Amino acid sequence: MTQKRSVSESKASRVFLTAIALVFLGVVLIIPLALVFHTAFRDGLEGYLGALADPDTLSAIRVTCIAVAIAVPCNILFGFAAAWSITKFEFRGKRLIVSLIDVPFAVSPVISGMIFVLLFGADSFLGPWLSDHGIRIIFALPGIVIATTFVTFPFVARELIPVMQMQGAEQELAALTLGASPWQMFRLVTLPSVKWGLFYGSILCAARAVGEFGAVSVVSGHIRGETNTLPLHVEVLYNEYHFSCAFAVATLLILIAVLTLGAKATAELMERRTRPQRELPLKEAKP
Amino acid sequence: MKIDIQKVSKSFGLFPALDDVDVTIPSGELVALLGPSGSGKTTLLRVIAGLEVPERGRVFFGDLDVTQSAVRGRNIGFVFQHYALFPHMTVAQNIGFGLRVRKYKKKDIAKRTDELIELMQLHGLGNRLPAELSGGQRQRVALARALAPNPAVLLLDEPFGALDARVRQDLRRWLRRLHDQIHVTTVFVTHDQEEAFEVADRVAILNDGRIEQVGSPDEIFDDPANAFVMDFIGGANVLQGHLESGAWRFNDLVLPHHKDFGATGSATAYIRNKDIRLSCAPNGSPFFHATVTDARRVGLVVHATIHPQGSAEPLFAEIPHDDWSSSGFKVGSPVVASVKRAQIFQ
Repeated sequence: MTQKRSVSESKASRVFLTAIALVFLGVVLIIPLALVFHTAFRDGLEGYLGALADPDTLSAIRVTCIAVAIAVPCNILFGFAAAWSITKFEFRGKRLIVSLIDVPFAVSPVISGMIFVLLFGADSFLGPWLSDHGIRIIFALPGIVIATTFVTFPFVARELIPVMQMQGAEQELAALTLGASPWQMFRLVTLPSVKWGLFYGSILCAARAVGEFGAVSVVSGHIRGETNTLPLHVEVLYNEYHFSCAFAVATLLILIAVLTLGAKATAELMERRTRPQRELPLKEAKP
Repeated sequence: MKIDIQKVSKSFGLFPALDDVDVTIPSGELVALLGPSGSGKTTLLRVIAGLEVPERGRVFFGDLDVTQSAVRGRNIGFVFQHYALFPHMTVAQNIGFGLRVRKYKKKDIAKRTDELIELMQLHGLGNRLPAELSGGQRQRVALARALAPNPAVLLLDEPFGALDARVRQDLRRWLRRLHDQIHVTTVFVTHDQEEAFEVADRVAILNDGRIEQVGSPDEIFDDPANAFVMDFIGGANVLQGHLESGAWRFNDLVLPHHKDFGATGSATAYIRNKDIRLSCAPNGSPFFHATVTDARRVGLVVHATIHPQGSAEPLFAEIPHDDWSSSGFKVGSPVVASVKRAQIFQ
């Protein structure tokens, strides 16, 4: 204890630094959150529940759920394939792929949305063909799903690549030498060893998919009760001065954020428990 | 099962890891692949395992050509240097893995797992996770896991490399005893000579992707096939001399040899430190006159530095401490250095 104190700051500066951190958190996080809930419940519990039960809100929840339900599995599949090929094989253009995975992070979501309008919109070169076949992508659900998938695709791959890199291929080779088929190797060794990384990546991916605003805003067309997702719906309500309704719907997004944080903490805890053995110090042991 | 490796070559890019390697590993023997790093020993082990496919040559298990067989069809047990245990499985689940993927009944898996836990002296650890074990215990779990499906061949890659010296010492004696119990054909890779000679029935010395010599520890020590083996095993004094009328000469030292060298020319003699004896007068062995220039006691032996007359290069001798103290030699003493044994290579 005395040793610890001798290398740390003086008491006054510790109190000062902690106070700054707390004040900052209060101003940028806690007060705004409290205000959201305060405004959401301004018309009482009935007003709150009424706002949530509104058909347009329910439709927004439905659209968001569909987008998430399609985008997340697609990105799990893609993320796994990308992480697998990047960490287990040597090939030309590997660096390029690693950089390309980050494109959705680097590009503003609004631009991502515009790309899809240019690709699938009425004036695009695909547009006439799509309208001839009665397929609507822009200003419809497919556009929202595609935009959401695009914007969230780095999450799973980004989580899995370091986990798989750290583990290397030895455990999988060990499984093969023990007589496992490639599928048994994947199911019994690869998947369990990355499951918490995969879980965490999926959670982040889902959270981002729920909250995505920019790209979806461009492709959705804001058709109420049809192509509005939750964040878009909040914006519409806010712009129409339905403050308490807007904030009531916003509390749903906050709830999802809190759940995400909880899941993230669990995943990190569980991953630490089964961290690869070679990182632990070797103890003296009698054979 | 006998392993027969015939003219195997393998390169990584431009680097030839194995160059026309021929070696036979007799059934039931414990063979060490010994060599400096980059000599191709691990590649050879991985070729036997099927983890690498050779570019040329064949690998036989018994009479069966397995060159093209997949890893899982070869019925081998492989122990990785860093154990490669499955971190999310308990010790018992790790050991039973090879049986589980072969669809054994739960009851049979449990029975075999218990047997191996017994054999490997891992009592009471069956429900632990690998992260909760010491290095030596993990290594034994890895060995148990490899042995559980009764492999025809057991392959170990630097099995004790990641352990500290004490544990390594204990484990290699224990591996020797284990092999005497179960007699599975075993090949292990090591860069540690002491380990190779202490554990193995036969040692194959590799260098630059080639086999330099295969033999029992005695054969390799007493009759090294070439200068590399001589130099690699134990180290030695190196003397450049010349051949003349059936003997090798360096100043007043004359070493007879039985090799089929040309009549004249230069040749190199390798003399181990412990094969030089110091005395006051010749005792019948080949000898030369020298002066002691340094002497240091290291445990039970004395490391003496001697300068042969008419040569600037020092030689090193290792004398048992008792002999040294009874001889009364000091730094500066003139001595007769006898050579008990030497290897001459042209």
